[in-house]
Parts: sequence; structure tokens; C-alpha cells
Amino acid sequence: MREFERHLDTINSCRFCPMCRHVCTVGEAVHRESVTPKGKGLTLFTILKGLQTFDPGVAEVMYQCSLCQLCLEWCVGNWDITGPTLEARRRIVSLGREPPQVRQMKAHIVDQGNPYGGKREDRFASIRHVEAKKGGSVLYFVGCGTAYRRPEIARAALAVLEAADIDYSILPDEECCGAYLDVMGYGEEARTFAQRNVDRFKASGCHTVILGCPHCFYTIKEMYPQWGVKPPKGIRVVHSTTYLRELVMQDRIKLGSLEGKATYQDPCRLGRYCGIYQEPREVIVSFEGLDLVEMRWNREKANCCGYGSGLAITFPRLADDIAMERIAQPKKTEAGFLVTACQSCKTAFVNHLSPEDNLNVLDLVELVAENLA
Amino acid sequence: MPIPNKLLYDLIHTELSDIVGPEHITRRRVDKLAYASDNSWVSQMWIDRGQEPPTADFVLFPHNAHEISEIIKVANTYRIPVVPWGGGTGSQGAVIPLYGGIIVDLKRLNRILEIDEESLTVTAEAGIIGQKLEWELNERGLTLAHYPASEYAATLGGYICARGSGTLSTKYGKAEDMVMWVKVVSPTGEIIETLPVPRHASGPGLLELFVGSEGTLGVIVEVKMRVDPLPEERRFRSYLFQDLDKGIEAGRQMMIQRLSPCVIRLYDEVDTKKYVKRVLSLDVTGSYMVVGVDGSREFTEVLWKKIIEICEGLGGEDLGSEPGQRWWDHRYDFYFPPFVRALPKLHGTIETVTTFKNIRPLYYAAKEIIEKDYADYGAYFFAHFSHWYPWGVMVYAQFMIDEPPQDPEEALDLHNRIWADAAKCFISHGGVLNEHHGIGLKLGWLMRKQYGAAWPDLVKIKNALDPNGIMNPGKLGFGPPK
Repeated sequence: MREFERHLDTINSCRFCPMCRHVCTVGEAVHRESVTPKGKGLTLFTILKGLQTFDPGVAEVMYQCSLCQLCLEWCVGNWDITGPTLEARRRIVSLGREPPQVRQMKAHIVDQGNPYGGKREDRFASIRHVEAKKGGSVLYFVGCGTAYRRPEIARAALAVLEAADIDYSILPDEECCGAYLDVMGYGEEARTFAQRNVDRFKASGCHTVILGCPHCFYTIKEMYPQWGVKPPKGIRVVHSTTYLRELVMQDRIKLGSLEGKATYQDPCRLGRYCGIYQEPREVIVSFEGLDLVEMRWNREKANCCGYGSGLAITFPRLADDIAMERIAQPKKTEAGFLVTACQSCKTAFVNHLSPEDNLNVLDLVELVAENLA
Repeated sequence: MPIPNKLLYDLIHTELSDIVGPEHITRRRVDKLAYASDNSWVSQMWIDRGQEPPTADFVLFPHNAHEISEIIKVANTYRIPVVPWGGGTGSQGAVIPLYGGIIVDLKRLNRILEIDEESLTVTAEAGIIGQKLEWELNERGLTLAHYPASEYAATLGGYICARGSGTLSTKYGKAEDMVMWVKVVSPTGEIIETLPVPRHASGPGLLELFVGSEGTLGVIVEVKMRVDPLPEERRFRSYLFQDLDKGIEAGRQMMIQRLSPCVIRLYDEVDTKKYVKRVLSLDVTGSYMVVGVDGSREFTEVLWKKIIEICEGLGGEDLGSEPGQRWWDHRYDFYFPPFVRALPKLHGTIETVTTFKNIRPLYYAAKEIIEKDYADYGAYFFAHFSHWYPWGVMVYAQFMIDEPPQDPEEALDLHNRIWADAAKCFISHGGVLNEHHGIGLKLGWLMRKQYGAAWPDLVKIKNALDPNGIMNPGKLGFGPPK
């Protein structure tokens, strides 16, 4: 198992260390030692020592992680257990021992271009203007989660682009960015999807690709080059929050006034993975009359919603348990708006709030679209 | 004792599963191995060397006292061990399932039941992680004031079971001083409670029976603790003393003058050189002390004057407030890899406590034993003094061998011999086996020596409460299940 050699320092550091237990997103939901970074480190160590094998129990443990990296944020030694965890997933896939729901997700992506199993031809069924907008200089990459679960985010994004008079387009044959394939251990398939998407970017003639989903953004911007699949030179890859801030700052769009308070959920992939914390906050405070109130844990230490990195698909009950716990924090702020910038976060919150909570969950782009001056 | 056959094993699984629900019981290898070590060097070394560790037959995740009661009744029926598990952060192997059986992980019992802001108490389930409880209290301007290095992972029940101490125990006391009441599932499955308040003249202290019991006398399921208001201010100062004796005397003076500092943390010369430098980036020679006070500004002003007088009167070099504040801000950094003392080194924390009169002879005797008798192994000894009482102080003594034997049996034997020699030295100098890490599997065999003629009485209590000996067998010196 040479592939683990580069992870030995991390495995050896995590195997007996409980110092991030209190913030482990999955550990705090299921309360099992095995799923924590310590548990994962120890599991891999004992496998390397011949005390156990990559059996179905180990496979489940390795897939029960939202890859949120909150543990890394708290780790004084800066040990990142997600590296060995992803390595383990690749190993498990190579042995054909991944949990059946993981295998099914992969089949959905390969067959239909999305992890949910929705039909390929239905990808943009809930989003208007798709056919009418081809060949624009700005490409809006919708992403699977938005297309199949939260199309209102895409509709809002298109409305903002139109309001700003942007020459935008959408890839009519858009499909999965490959993020979930990669994190589930299907590296080769992920690269195939990456190459196809990059080829489409080239063919579209765009100079900017806007991603509304942090998973897509991180994967295309950071992972594609690591996989050797580089977006063509001259194409800018940008997250919608950054793009929105620019539109506001350049007066391309005018924000209206809003009464009340908003709180912001930092998506793990946008915050901890990409370092984007300030841009969405700057847009929120640009609304006249809208106050930003922070949750107890925010920015680098923001808690994970539980729905990211495919966990809501592979372990939906676990993801729901995490989200149920997570929702307490925005409620405590007494804000009227819970703003996020990730379709997974939005779904997690929408699924666990009730009308009595009086909390309007919106992606940042929806907040903007609904409140243009 | 091992469950004799697969059929019976599966039948017991069915019974236990019926109690907690199938999703809250596991017998997977991956889980069993995750519960096969705690923070004890012995359990970790065993796995590090690729040895098969003792594992439980089942790991259960009950949700309430009733479920635990039912689990214990099943365990008594089949006479299989029950090992309560909190955070698994103990350093003495108290949660290692030496005889197999059922591990009862308590972390689903994590609710805060009441915060009484009038009386300044909190009642919570035993499985709540200390840091999470602390955060909830902080939101109300309160603190548990219990800050052990294990706070990020240890549970409230674990604090009580192991008689834990936090970094500010010199003012706020140990967990045993804070606990007011516990609800316990007894070794025969009854759910019992101690008296509603801890001070009374209503017979012997039942509460005391469970404090420090390390899961051998029942499962603590709910706890009421005293809490404190968050102080208006907390400030620190650091001093460098020429030698350890001067530092000990400074600490003694603060305590016998009843000055109530929240922390006195005094490092001996070796610890100052090695670890203060490594973690706090402070390259100094001598004996380094952090002292702190907290409370209202008026209160701390008065204390500071007295403390400064004492420290400067004993030749302490004032290093200012910044190093002390840095220690407080980074007080847990010592416990993260790569700063934590860990394998492949052989190490042990052999802390003890005794009176001021005995502390110097005890410290120097232990140091001599380890550094002379184990010189061939390159053993070295270092210590800090961090929990101070009106009558004495704890010495957090540690031994270390940088390149220990690779053979697991030889390493284990060496570890045990060093520890036993140190422990016997402590006992002969008026100390105790342990001050706040507990006994576990590590020191159980020395309990007889420590308690002397009183030991059989402790065994009788154990046997009366736990006739089948199912509760955490092999710990505290109580031996195997019946």
C-alpha cells in the first residue's frame, strides 16, 4: 500500500489524538470513535499494521466524512485527515468494496451526468432562458445540485446577469464537474468529466466561468489543474459571490433597501477550501438597512451543514442529523435572513427549518435578485 | 470472560440490539479497534507494535439511563463486563476492555438539563463533551472553570470518574470539588441518585463513592456541577526563578497566605529548557512560573501586589504578562502532535500530590530513581507543579526514554517497572499513586499497597455493589468479573 506512504505522518499524528473531537461534524452526529479523525487515522494505521482490512465496516467509516476540514482548522499541528481519507476511498474503490450507495451515485453521474439520477434531458427543466442564451462571453455553470435540487438559485443568477446587462450563456450540454466522483474515489472518471467540461468551455468562446456551487468552483479552479486538466488560458473561473461583489462595486447592479438582520453561513468549500469569506459579507452589508449578524461560529470556524461533499446522497440520515444540529446557530442570531452561497447548505437548512422559525433561507444571489433597486 | 460460543454471542446481540435499537449497537471490527486504546501509553504502544489489543464484544450507544439500566441487567444475566466510555482521553487505560464485554459509549447522553443561574449550577448528562458544555455556559456569562487539557474530547462524566483537574484548579478546585450530585445506574441496574446537595450531616457521602470510581461502581449518567461567573478579568504574569526550590517556595507562600491565585504553574529546570522553549518559544534557563489571578479588577489588583512581593522577594525575574498570556492562549497546544509527548518515545505521567513539607524530598527522590536506575536506557525526568492546595502541591512528574526497546513485551515491562518504582517512592514519601489521571489498568495492582489495611474494605464495598464483578473489571485493582 505504497499510496499511503505520503500520508504516514498524518496517520501517525491523528491515530491517537482526540483534540478535534468536539468539532468533528460527523463524530458529533453519530458519537462513534471510529468516524472521527482520530478513528480514521487509527483505522488506517491498524490496516497498515495488518490488524484489519478494508472490509465493509472500514469502507463505511471512510465514507462517513463531509470533508469539511473543520478539524484541520482546529489542529495546532495542521494535520489534514481528509488526505488519507480520500486515499482510502480510492483504495476501497480499487478493491470494489465501496458502499452500494456510493457506487450508485457514480453510476448516476456516469449515466446521467448528475449524482441524483435525474434525467440528463431534465437538467435545465426548471430554468428559463436556457435555449435562448448561447455563446455569451460569460458562462454560468449551473451545477448538478442547483439544476436538480435548487433551480431557483440558477433562475436568480440569470436574473442578476440580465439586470447587469451581461452577455451570458449556459452550456446546453453541461454535466457534472466531477467533484463528487473525485471525492468518492473515482479519480479517472472525474478527469474524464473534467476534460469534457474544459473542452466545452473552450468551444463556448467564453472569457469568464461563474460557478454558483462551491464544490464546482473549487474543483474546476483548484482541482482541474492538479489533475492536469487546465482551463484554457484567458478564461477566468470565479465564484458567484465574488462576481456579485464586483457587480455591486462597479455599480452594474443597484441594490435596494432591506429592513432587518441577515446572518451568513460560510460554505466549507468556499470558506475553508478557497478562503472566500469577505466578498459575500460585503454584498450583504451593501443593502441599505440590512444588518449582518454573525453566528457564534463563522468564517474559518464555521460549522458544516452536513450536506456537502455528497454526504446527503450517500448517508442522508447522517446528513440530516448534522443539519438538524447545525440549524440552532442561525436561529440564535434572531436574523430574518439566513444567507449562504452553496446549494447544499441551502437545501440542508430549508429541509430543517419550519415556518415558525421565521428564517428566510436564500443563496446570496437570490437575496440580490429579489432585492434589486 | 469470553462469550463461549457464536450462537450465544448472536443471542446476546439480539437482546442488546432490542434495548438500544439496531443502529446503536456495533460489533464491527473497525469499531472494536477504535475502542481498543485510550490516551494511555500502554494501550497505544500495544497497537503501535502491531499487537492484537483486547477488544469489546459489542459497542453500544444508549440514549438514556433506562437503556443503560437494561444493558446492565443483560450483562448481569450473562455475566459479561460493562465498560463505560466517555471521551476515551484517560491516560491510565481505564476504558480498555481487558475482559471484553460491552463498551457503553455515553456520548449520546449529551443534553444540558438545567442551568440554574440563581444558584450557579448546571445539570447535564454525563456524555456531554466538556468544551461544548463550557461554550454553552459561556453564552450565559458562566464557566465551569474546569479546563483540563482533555477538554476538547473528555466528557463530564469522565471528569468525575477520574477525579480530574483543570489548569485553574488552584482556585476553582478539581472536578470532585465542583460536583454536587450524580445520578448513577448501579452495577445491578438500579437508577439511583445521591443527596441533592453535597454538604450535609446525613451519614457518609454516597456522592464520594462514585467520584473517582472509574466505572467500577456503576455508570454515572447525570451530573450537577457548581459553575462560576466568567471573571471580569483574568491576568497572568511570568517569573523565572534561579532554581526549582525558589519557585516552590514562592508558590507555597502564595498558598499559605491564602492569596487564591487561579493558576500557579511552575516548571522544573528540565521542563523549562525542553518544553517551555518548544511550545512557548521562550529560551530561558531556570525554573519558569506562570501565575494568574482572576475576578474583579479591585480584587486582582490587591492580589497582584502580594504575589509580586513574594516572587520578587525570592529573586524571581519578572518576564511580564505576555508569556503567561501566551501560555493561557496556547495552553492546549502542548497536547497536539507534534508537541505532545507521544510514541515512539516511551513516556509516562506519574503525577502525585503531597504536603509542602514532603514535596521536595519526594521530587528529588523520584528524580534520582528514574535518572540513576534507568540511566542505561537514557531515561530522564522532568516535572511541573500546577495544582496547588492550601497544604501542598501536585507534582506533574514525567519520565521519558527517547529510544525505547522495540519489543512490545520488553517495552511494557520497562514502562511498568519505572512507573512502579516511582509510585512506590511517592507512597513512601507521603504521596499518593495519582493526583488527577486516575488508576485505570496501569496502577490497579498498587492499590493494595497504597491503601494497606483499608484495601479489603474497599474490595468489600465493590463486591457488595457489584456481586458479579461486571463493572469495568481489571480496573482500580478490583480484578476480573466473577
